[in-house]
Amino acid sequence: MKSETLFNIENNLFTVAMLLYFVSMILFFVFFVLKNLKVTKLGNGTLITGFILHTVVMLIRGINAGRLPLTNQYEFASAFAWGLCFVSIIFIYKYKFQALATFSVPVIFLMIGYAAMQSKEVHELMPSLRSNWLGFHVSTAIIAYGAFGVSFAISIMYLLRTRSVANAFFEQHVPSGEKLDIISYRAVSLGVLFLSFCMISGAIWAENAWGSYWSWDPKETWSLVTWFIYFIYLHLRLRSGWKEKRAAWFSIIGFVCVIFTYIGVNTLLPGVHSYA
Amino acid sequence: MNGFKKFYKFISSMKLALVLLGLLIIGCVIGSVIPQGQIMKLYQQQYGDRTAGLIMALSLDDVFHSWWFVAFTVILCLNLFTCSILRTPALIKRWKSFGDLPDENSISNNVSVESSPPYIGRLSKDPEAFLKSLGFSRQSGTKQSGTKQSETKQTETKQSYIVGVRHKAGLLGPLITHIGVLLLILGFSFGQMTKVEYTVYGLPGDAKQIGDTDYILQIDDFNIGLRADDTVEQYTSDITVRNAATGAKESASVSVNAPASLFGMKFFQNSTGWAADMHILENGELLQEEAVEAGNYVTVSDKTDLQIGFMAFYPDYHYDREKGPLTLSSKLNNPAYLYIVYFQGSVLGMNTLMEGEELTIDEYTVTFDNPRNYTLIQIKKDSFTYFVLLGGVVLLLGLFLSLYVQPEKIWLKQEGDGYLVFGSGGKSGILFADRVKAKLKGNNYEK
Repeated sequence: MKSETLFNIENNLFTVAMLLYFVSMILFFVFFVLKNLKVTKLGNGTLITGFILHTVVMLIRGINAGRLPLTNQYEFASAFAWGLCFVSIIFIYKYKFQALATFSVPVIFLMIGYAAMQSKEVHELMPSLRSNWLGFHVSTAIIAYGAFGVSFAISIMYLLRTRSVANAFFEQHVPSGEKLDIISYRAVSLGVLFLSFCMISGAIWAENAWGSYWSWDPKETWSLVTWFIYFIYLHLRLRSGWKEKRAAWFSIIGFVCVIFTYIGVNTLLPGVHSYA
Repeated sequence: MNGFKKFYKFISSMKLALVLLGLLIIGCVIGSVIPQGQIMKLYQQQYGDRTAGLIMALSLDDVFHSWWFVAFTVILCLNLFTCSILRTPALIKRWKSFGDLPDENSISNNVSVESSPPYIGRLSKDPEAFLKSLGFSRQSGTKQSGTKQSETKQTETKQSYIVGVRHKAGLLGPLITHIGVLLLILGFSFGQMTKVEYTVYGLPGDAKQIGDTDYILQIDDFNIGLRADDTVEQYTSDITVRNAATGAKESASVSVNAPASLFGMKFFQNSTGWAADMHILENGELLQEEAVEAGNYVTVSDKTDLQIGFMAFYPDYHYDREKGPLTLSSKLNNPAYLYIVYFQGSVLGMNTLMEGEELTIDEYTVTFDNPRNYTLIQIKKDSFTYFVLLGGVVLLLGLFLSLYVQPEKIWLKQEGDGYLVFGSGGKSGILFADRVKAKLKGNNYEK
């Protein structure tokens, strides 16, 4: 009974959080397209409230399941959206860059929408997932994916900025192209570092669970592909001056690869990671 | 010599590294899309004869062990190694000179310098406190201009400078990252070449030799911990390993995520499956009785061209019209055994046999009973695992230094009773200049 009550509370709060993300998305859209500055505070408040509720949803699920809520498609998709929101908020405040939300909140909304389509049933952990490495491995993946998502949003913004005729609104609310480029690079740096943590902790865990730290499982392989792509990005950027427009396109390709590693691999290339 | 230099330049170039990474990406994509390790027939069924032939010819059925994938990896290692060697002297030079003043062009007396990137702003007072507030440490010996410059430059510029640096360690990041990647690839490759792996499956009470070693693995017990909802919580095997030559024994409990180390080998709880006793009677007399794991065959002892395979076990058997035979739970509510009979290499029949039912083949009668779980233990000895782990740690350290410890430098040039502030923030670029500007404004340092 307690479990069912908690499940219902979690479900209802999840719907409210999703709605708040949606409202926030609309408000930031109004801010950006109609150049209405009044809605930014409201949009920001809605986003933060949505994020807090989303955090509560994950806490309730964790309490109800008696474990970290990071083990199936629904839980990981929800955590992915949470990570994206978390990194977005950090970047918005660190770089005083409110307009970022206009491009990152739609990605958050899409991801939480994907989570909503998954089965929300609470399952017990299979033996291979019963490990202390679970929390570290998955949470580093969430931050990495979130950071790549933010870099994707900034890159889209960069490309729009370069194509738009410079106007006062852009000059005032969107950082210069040079700054956008560096902030996107910062997001990629965060993502690469956390993806590396994720892959190395996953290898240590796999060694303990299956006696093989690397087995070319599709998820492992595609994580490596993502890692390679971002490494090419970093090298081209630092050594060959591939900055701004080309770097923005590279960052977009990298995030497409991240999405495929998460959704595509789970649905098209089953392996030992098929549960998440 | 010229040819060698050219080759060395090519092999250590970043262009080559990026091309190799691109080729490895293509290999990884192919290896994850095409099913690996299948037989030709399966590829022919799935892709047609021509594509299947291409798959086999290019080793696309085993991409990650193919000659070309291994070759790209080896060349990448060479590239990383030579690139690291090539760049180390320049890195040492940069490390040593990091506190020096930049060239004179960057700190020219020309007023137009105030619009160029190294120029950040003007400082009115207290340079030491200003540097400290930004987390910079002042370099010793740089107060007077050109103290680390040539004599000529000393005479050319007679103004005072103060240089502050921070995060110098970040300069080492790329080199440490490369070393980490090299350690990872080398550890993995040597591990693949030298590791020894065995699998032993058995029922409690079984004692089996571990591969070609002197060691005997005895399965003392095997338990499947079930939760109230019938889901598996944990698989645990109690094992004893005995050295047949010396008689030395070591025992341990092994479960998923909790391997054990015995006699320098690692034992993993890998898997489980069903086993059962197969009884073969000839004209009503017991001929043979064997414990058989699902997937295995038994050859009838006095008729060797007759084989009976125990293909699968269904503890709670149910036949679904669409899905075929399946089990409703893992409880032994309605046990059924899927068997196959081969005679002279051809399939004679295949069906399910319920507990207590008999299969009759001429004078032979076959029955199954006593279903139970067997355990599959994986045994591994890989001395390079720790080498790989070290590579991982070094790689993480290198990445952290490369991406998060940005070497930064500020130099203050005395002008009248204040200072001109110049700076270099490496990869942080304009964000670094913004940070310094904000500090100049925020603390009323600005002139």
